[in-house]
Amino acid sequence: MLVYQTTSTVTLFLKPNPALGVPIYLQLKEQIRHACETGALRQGDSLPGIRNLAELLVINPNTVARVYRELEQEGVLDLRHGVGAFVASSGTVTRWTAAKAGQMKAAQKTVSDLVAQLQERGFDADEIRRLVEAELASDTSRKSRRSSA
Amino acid sequence: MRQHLALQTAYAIETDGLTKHYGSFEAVCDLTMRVAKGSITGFLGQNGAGKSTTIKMLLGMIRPTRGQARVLDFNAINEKESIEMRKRVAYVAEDKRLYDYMTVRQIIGFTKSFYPNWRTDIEKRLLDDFRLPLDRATKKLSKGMRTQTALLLALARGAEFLILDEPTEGLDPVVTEKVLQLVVGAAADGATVFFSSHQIAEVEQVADRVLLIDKGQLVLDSPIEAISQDYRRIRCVYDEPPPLSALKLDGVKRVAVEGRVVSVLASHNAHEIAGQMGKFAYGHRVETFPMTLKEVVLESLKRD
Amino acid sequence: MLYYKCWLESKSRFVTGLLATTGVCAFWTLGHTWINDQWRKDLIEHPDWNNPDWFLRAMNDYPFYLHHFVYAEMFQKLWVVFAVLLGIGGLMREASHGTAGFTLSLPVGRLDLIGVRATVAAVQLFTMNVLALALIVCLSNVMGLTYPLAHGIAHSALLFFGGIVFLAASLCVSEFVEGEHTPALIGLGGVGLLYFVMQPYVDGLPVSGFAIPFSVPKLMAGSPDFSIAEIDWLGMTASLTAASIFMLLAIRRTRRHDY
Repeated sequence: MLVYQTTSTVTLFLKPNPALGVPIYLQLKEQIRHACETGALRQGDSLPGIRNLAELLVINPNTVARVYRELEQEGVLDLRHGVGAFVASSGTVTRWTAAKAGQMKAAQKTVSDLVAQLQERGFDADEIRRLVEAELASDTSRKSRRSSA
Repeated sequence: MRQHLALQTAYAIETDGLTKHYGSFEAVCDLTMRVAKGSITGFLGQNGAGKSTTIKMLLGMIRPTRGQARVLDFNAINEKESIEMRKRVAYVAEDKRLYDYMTVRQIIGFTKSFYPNWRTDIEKRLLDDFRLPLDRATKKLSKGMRTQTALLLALARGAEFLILDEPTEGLDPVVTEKVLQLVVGAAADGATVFFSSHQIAEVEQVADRVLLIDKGQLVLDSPIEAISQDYRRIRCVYDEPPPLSALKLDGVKRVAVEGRVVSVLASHNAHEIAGQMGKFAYGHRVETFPMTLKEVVLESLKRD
Repeated sequence: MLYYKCWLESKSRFVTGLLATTGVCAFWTLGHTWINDQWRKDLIEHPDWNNPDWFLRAMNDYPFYLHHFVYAEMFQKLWVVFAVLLGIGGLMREASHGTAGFTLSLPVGRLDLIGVRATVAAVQLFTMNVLALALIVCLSNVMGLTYPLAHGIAHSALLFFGGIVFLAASLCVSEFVEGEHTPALIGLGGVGLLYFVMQPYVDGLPVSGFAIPFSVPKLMAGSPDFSIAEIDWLGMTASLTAASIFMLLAIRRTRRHDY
């Protein structure tokens, strides 16, 4: 018999994978944003405390603290001293509406066209992946220097 | 004593030129490092690289040949100060054996007596979590249970500084994750954690900072984030390799030539380095790759 | 709690020593009558047998008999064996067991570690003396024999203070020699050699020449007819000085060594 195995919001997040080449804090930030976008987390919902989330995901508490801080600065979260972290009621993350879903679909088409083009030119899957990763990596380092400047 | 005067130091460990010679063998050579309070630091290195020797010098078990070391702002080399320091430090040795003439209950009672800040709540929780048999002699425990007992004895001290030498060695993945969870929990409570490990993945997962020691020398000292954000491998194909002087840029750590490929390990400033390399490259194609901690470690350990 | 640790560590050695030494005392006390009868029979049946010097006196003089067999011979030798065994331990031994790191991470000084060890062993040896004497006195009473307490206390004290050097030497050897059993083997070997060489002197030969510095067994036994005047004060001082030197060496070593 099929039954819902209910767990709390806390298990919503997947353990960040350091081997992906993306910093853990970025992965976590992305996950929280994504949860807001898809509506898994809605305005006013509470997020786990820093300690709880760190223990759950088995990552550094300073990393969680940093993620919460940055997301507060970016307007995604509300940090209420002594109470916890909540999804900002006037959040800057727009929940995926039908429009957003449409945008994602369009983006998907762009990517599949690009991949098809490159494959026609003779690039295989690994080469294409490397090109994309290298581009994103040099993009990140440029961005981080800009933001820290 | 110093800590009554000025502001308390922000560092849990400060070493300056710490050296240990055994005859002509240099176990640790001129080690200078700072570990901030409240951080989790991973201390990586191969077997025999000097990790345990360094830790033992910090704890007063080995006397340095030369150099200074301060732990929690106590002089690690002075016995009296070292004893004061040890009231606030919890150490788990590489060899996790315990007194085989004691039971688990007895060794807990024994250890407890030295630490007035003993956390009975942590003791009870860990006894429960680990399901440790109180009345079994420690010599009859499996290796995993011995490690868990050693960790219980360390974590229940209420110490502000945890020094762990290979805490997950020989443990299965489930218990390993549990141990890392405890480490993270202790850090969330405000403790500083300094742990040595062979497992690069573990360090990458929980540490703020990584220190890599090779043949007694510090070859890498970096925040973990800098590894993924700033470290890059930059490669180029050449007809003829560019003059080395052209590559003497800020951030260049190693330059390797493999056939027609020049490969640069950059700790930061990758954009400028890539630009410079591009000026000499065949077809002006420069490839930049992000690096995992494992790759950075393996590169740093390569001999020139 | 360091005392508790040392106690647990040495418990079985101590209990064995206690049983052995009290057992020996019990044997000689309870067996006195029977042994004496055997001796009488031997005298009658084998008049040609050579008798050691102490023999005749031992048959008739109970304190002398006890002195010979207990304080000069078996009890003394067993006591010395256990003085060596109880001195085994310390950080070198812990290093070979892999627990030195744990012990040294505790907020205790190295001087404290060896000091507690020495104290516990000394108290244990002292207890062996006291219980042995108590047993002798009680059992002698039971057997209807008289044993002057003053005699016993005097010889017990001589044995303890003269022989403490063996404990100190063992503590010292343990701090220098690695391994589970090696320090014990060295200690017992040394003691065995000493007693082998010194046995004739214990039996009655006058001590002279090279043997003088090593005549600890004779010092510990003392003269059977005890009197303050006869205490070898020079020997006692020398023995206690040697014990102090061993202790200082042990302390110095443990404070400087890298574990």
